[in-house]
Amino acid sequence: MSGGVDPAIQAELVALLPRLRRFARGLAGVPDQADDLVQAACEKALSRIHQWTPGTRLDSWMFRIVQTTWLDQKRAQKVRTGEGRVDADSPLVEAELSVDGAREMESHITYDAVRRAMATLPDEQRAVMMLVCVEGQSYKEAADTLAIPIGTVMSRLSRARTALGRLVGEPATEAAGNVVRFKPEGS
Amino acid sequence: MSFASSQRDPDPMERTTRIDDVMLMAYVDGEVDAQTAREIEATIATDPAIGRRVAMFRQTATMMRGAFGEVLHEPVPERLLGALGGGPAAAPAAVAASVAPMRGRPEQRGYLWRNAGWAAAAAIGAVALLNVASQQGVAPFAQRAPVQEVAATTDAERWIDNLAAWYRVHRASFEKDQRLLVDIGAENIDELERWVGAKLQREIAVPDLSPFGYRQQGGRLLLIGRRPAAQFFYATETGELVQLVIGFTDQPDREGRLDQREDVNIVSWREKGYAYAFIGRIDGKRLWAMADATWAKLKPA
Repeated sequence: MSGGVDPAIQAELVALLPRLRRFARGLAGVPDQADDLVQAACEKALSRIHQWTPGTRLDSWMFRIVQTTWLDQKRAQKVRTGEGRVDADSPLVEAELSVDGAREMESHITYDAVRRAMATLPDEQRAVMMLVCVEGQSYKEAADTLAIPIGTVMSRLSRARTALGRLVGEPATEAAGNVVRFKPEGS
Repeated sequence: MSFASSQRDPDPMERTTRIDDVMLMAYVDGEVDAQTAREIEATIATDPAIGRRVAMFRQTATMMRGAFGEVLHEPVPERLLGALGGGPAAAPAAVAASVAPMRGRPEQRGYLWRNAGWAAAAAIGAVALLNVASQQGVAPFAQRAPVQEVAATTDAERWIDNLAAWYRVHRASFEKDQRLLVDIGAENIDELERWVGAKLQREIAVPDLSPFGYRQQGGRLLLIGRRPAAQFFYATETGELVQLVIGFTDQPDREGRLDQREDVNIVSWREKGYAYAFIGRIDGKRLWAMADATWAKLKPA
C-alpha cells in the first residue's frame, strides 16, 4: 500500500486513472507505453504527494506529472518513439490524410487516423491538444497545468489543430482574405 | 479571456481586427468575449472561407474526443491500481473496468465527493462481479454449506482480486472520514430504489441488513460496460463496511460462491441476467448469511 497517503486522496487518484491513461495515450500513442508512463507518474506522485496543495486541482497536478515524466523518459531515451514521430509529410501520414471529400468528417475518417495524426505532432502540441480538446480544460487551465504562458498554449493548439484539420480537407494555411475590418463600437 | 484588445491596426478611427486562426479557434473554444464572438459570427456569415475554418476547428475537437474517448472504457491494468496501492502490486495482468459515473462529464470527476472518487473503485468491483466465471446452476444459497470454494478461471480470480482491493480503498477512506460517497443517502431510500430500479429495469428493494447490525448508508449508480450498475453501502455503528453491488450480466446463472482475498471476503452469484456481490471484511460465514438472507428478495420478478 501507499504508506502515508491520505485514503481520500488515494481514492481520488484511483478515480483519475482512466483519464490519466487517456492523457498518456495521447502523449505516447502506444497503449502499453502509455500505461508504463501512467505507472511511473503514479509512483512519482505518491513519492511527492506532500507537494500537492490541498484545494488545488489534483487532476491538473497529475497531468503535469504525466507530461514531465514523459518528457524525462524521452530525454533519457528510455522509450521508443512509438508509432509516431514520422514527418507530417511522410507517405504514411499522407495516406491517412488524403481522405477525399472528407468534409463529412467523422463518417469517413477513422479515429485511428486521428490518433496516427496526433502521433506525428510534437510532444508539446499533443499535450495541449489532450488537455483542451479532450479534457476540456480552458486555455488558462492548460497553461497552469503545463506551466507555460497562455499564448504558448494557443499557438501550440492552433498549429496542432491546423495539422489535424488536414484530415477534414482543410488546408494547413489560414483562409485567404481573412483580414476583415470592423467599425469600432459607437462609431 | 478576451480578444477585444487584439486590435492590430493602429487606425484610431476604425477598429481593424485580423481574424486569424488563433482567434477563430478561441471563438470555437468559447474563449473570446461576447463582442468578438459577434464580430466573428458576422464574418462567418459573409465569408465562406472563415466558416470552413471555424468548422475545421470544431471538427478537430470532436475528432479528438472521439479518438481518445474509448480509453475511458478500457480495463485499467492492475499494475496501475497496484501503483496507487489499490491492489496487489505484483498482479501482472490487465483487469478491471469501464469506468464512468452516471452523472457529470469526465472532467468533472474527482472533485465532487458525492459523484466522484469512488466511481472507478466501485465500477471495478462491479465489473469484477460481472465477469466472475462459472457454469453452475441456480438456487444460490438454499441448502448450501455456508462456505465453499469453486474453481474459477484466471480471469475470475483477477476480478475477485479487484473487488477486494477496491473494498480496501473504500474502507480506508470511510475509516478516516466516516462518510461515504453516495448519490442518494439512506434518508431517501425510496428515491434511491426508484432511481436505481429504473436504471436496472427492474424493481429493487434495498435489502435490510439491520438484523446483522448493518445500517443502510445509501447508494450510487455507475455505468459499467456502458450499462448501469448499483452499489449500496452498509455500515455498523463501529464503522465496519459492507458493500452490495448489482449489475447486468450476460453470463449464465451461477450459484453463490465465497472468495477470500487476505482479510476481505466476497460472496457473489448471478441470476436472471443480473450479477450480485456482497463484499466485506467480516467473517465469510456472516457475509454468506447476508447473501442467503437477501438473495430471494433480490431476485428480479
